Amino acid sequence: MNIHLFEKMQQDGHLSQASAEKLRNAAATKLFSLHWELKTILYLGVLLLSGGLGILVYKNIDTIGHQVILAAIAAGCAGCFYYCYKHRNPFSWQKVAAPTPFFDYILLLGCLLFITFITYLQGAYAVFANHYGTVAFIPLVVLWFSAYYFDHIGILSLAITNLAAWLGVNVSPYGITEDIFLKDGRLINTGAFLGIALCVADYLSHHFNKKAHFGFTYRNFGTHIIFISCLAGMFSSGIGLSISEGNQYFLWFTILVVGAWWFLKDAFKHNSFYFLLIVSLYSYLGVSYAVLHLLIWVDDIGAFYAGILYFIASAIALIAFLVKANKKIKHAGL
Amino acid sequence: MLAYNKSQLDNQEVVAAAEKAYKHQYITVEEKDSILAAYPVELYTPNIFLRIGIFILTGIICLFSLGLLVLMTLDSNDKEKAFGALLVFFGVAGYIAGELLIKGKHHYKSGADDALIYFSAICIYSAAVIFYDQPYNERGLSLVALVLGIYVSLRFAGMLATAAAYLALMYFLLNVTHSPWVGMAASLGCYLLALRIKNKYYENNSLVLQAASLLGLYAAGNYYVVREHLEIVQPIYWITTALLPLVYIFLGVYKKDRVLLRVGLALVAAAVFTIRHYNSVAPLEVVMTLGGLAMIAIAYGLIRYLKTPRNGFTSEEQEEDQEAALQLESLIIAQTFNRGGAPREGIEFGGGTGGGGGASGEY
Repeated sequence: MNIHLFEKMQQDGHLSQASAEKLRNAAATKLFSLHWELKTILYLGVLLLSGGLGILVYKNIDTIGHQVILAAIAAGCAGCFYYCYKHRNPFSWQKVAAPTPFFDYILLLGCLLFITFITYLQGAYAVFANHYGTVAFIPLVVLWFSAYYFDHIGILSLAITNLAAWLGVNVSPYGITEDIFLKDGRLINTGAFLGIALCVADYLSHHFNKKAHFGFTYRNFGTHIIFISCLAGMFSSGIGLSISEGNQYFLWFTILVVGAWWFLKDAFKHNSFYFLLIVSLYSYLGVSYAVLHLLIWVDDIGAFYAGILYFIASAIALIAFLVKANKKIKHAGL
Repeated sequence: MLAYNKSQLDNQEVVAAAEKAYKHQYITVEEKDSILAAYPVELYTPNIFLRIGIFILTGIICLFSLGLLVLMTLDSNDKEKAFGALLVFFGVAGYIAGELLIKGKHHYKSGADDALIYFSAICIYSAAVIFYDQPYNERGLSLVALVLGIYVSLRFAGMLATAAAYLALMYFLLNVTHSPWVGMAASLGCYLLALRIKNKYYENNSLVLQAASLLGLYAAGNYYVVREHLEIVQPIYWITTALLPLVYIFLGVYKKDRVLLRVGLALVAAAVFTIRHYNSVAPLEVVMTLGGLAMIAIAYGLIRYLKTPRNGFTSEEQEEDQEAALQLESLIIAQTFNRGGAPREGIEFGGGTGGGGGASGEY
């Protein structure tokens, strides 16, 4: 904070003596915080350690033996959970602060070790035989429970991605773009339902006021998944306007439009410009694809010009809309 | 030189500081309102999300306008020259539009003004590439980029332009001489220059230049870069490779300079990779495990040690927007750990990552 700025304001008579004194104190006691640097090192350390141990075990599997490794993983996992259980703040349906700076990381490590444990058990002994669903489901329950019991948003996102994996959809926030052109209609349907379910979870979190601060995470994943599913559904439907032969192009387009309308209304209601923007951009992508679809169908040089003019005009219109919406919302938060 | 109205920028700074002070309850609401009334801000600076949206959409408008005119002039005789002329036209038009937005509508980093200015700069540079084609001259082109970068940095305080100008300078030097010492000296010069920029309107440019020149200084003296790209093999570069990050960190802590500190920390990784590339002391997994353990131990020790502030350092958080940071962290966790955690989705559904064509943008 620039103290000279406030000195000048005090001279101009905008600040009282007491406030100026407070500001001076704050400036004098300002510390150089290494918080983010240290946390990053800690996080990278956990990442390297778990990766390194993984490879180490993989390479020496013949000499160590499965039981020893499994026991070591189980011991580590149990140790992490024991630490968390010991140090946790009392459970509450509201936000609970982490008791120590390391709590979040140890819990994360414990959960990751648990997933490794289950996967390993299956890999080495095929304990669950062909029930791959169970292999994914057990960690899912543990993750969800840990997220709520110890109040950890990171574990919650891990649980959501695991749920998606269990359902067969890959929804890692960036990895999702790789799968956008999935041709498998079943996966797209699953994705759409998952997205809706996550948005319902957000609604319920707020409605019953149980861990309401988890709402944003549900909603963020849910919104992205719904729209990406709609777009994937549209893109994977063939060119052509026939409704027959199982072409679901119109279905997805309708869902996209209805979804956009509903989410936009909701974004205004919650004063969230972030959602307004992502919903606008996704729907813009969808509508533009529909327009191009139509123009390709017309197949004429005039249509080509029309397409270019469409993009210029629609981008201008969208900017006007966003600027106007911003005036209405006036809020930059999430 | 700056295109924006300086007294308006001053007012914006005052208002931002007052709102921050009010958020921390150093000043009362009456005081805040009185300051807000005394320092009116007419600049149009929307929030970051709107800025991103406007930036993307303005880019779309510019590109498709260019596409439209290219289509209309396609059947001229000398296509290349015609395209170059069109680029110059768009460069000038984009620049004028940007200036008008800033002068008339008081846009300041609204997404529209920066998009127009960068579009215009790219157009002019591309036109230079087309017209400068015979004989192809990399030195001349990097000088063009350097001049454009410096101009946009000074006129619009563009941060990307500052980084581009630095890169152009380095590229120019690389084409003149292959000596790493020249690159290092030039980077050091840029860094010292950046430290001397005390003009507050260029504060961010100074930070960008500091970070870029520190990275460049290291890259120029890095053993791997020197050996593989400049084809010079001399053991002296081992010293710069191993010691520079430590020097950065030491100076960063000593001077409480965040740029030095962060760049130094990041470069430790680069130094380790470089050393491992030529001298494999231990297998990768052992290095990873030991490195991870060491990092956890160091971070753990320092967090504990600095819990009560010492010498002006603390490991506690200061004035940060916690909620946003937490959400970001959760996304990173989900991103980095997901692949390992998701058990064999492929077996069940035979899902594939089939690559479809980019269907959204153009025909």
